[in-house]
Amino acid sequence: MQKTINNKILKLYDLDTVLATRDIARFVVKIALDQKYDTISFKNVISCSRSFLDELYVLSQNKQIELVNIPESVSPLLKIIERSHKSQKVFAPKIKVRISNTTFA
Amino acid sequence: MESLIGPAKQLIGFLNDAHGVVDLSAMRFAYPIQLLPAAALITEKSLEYKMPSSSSCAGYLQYFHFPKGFTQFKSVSSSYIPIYKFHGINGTEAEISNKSDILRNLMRIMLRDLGSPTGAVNALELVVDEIVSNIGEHSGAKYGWINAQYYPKKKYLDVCILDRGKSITGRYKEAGKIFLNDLESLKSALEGESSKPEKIRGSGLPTFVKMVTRGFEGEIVVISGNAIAFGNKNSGPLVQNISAKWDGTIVAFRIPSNQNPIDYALYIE
Repeated sequence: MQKTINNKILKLYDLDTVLATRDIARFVVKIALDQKYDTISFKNVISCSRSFLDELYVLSQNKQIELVNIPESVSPLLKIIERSHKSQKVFAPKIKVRISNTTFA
Repeated sequence: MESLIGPAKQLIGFLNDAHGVVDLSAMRFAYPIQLLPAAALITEKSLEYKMPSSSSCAGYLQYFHFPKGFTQFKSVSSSYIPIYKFHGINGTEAEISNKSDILRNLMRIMLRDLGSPTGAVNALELVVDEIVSNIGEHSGAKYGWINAQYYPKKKYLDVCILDRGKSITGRYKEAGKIFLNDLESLKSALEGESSKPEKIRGSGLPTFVKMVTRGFEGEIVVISGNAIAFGNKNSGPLVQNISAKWDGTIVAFRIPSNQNPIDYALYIE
């Protein structure tokens, strides 16, 4: 684990876990708190899921943990999540759903 | 690409016949959309069953640990995920690690067999995450089930993920939102009506459907209670009744290989 003068950094890549689902995000934050990390780094991370990032974003804000080195592939998702929490609105695609009273099978 | 409609219709037939001893003797081939519901039903309802007469089909089922499935990640495969049961919510550290390994294996299949187009891993992770998270957060089921198979000659990936927890209607009811039937509740879920008490939109099913059908140009099937939704790249999902009932939710999708780059940001809001 890398240390800087002021920050103790938890590198997600080193955890060797897939970055998906809320419980894995909670698991990551638990590690950060137990081991007194104040920064979580996305360095070398290629992807993460919406639930994971949403939960990590909320918990890291509550616990004053900084998220750093957000890769380009993840930043659009983080921007939507930030916007979603600031406006208290969930952004989801609108799709046209048709309904039929016929029986499929 | 062959359609998922045929296997989905066969699944409905199976569900209608699955009483007493479940007879699989005539089964010669099973897609995940057929195999996984059969495994979950037989295991969770402790039903007796007859294995397929076809030795190759029976061997395939045994290799995938039918019907009980694996509860611990076994080994990495480049083309399939056998039948796995993963914990629903509040799992132990070992269970979380296990779920992580299963999902990572799915990403590996994606990378290797679907040609790894730019952005596909991010997109698939979003898709699978929406379904797996829904099971953990909303279904109340102790376990979720997953099975995936890449077909090299047919050049598509089939994935099925399901639970035997609360149906979508049941989840809405718990949040104080009453729907007349499974048809109406499934339509609302697909349109983004959240099953949470707060007045917010749900992102799960709309994101999943748009990403699979538009991003991957694949097909989706969602079954909950006695309603089914089918969608593909040509049209939005059509919701219909089915003659059987599934206690919980089944989500299955088929993705062709040779994908173009995918910008997931186009499909999440």
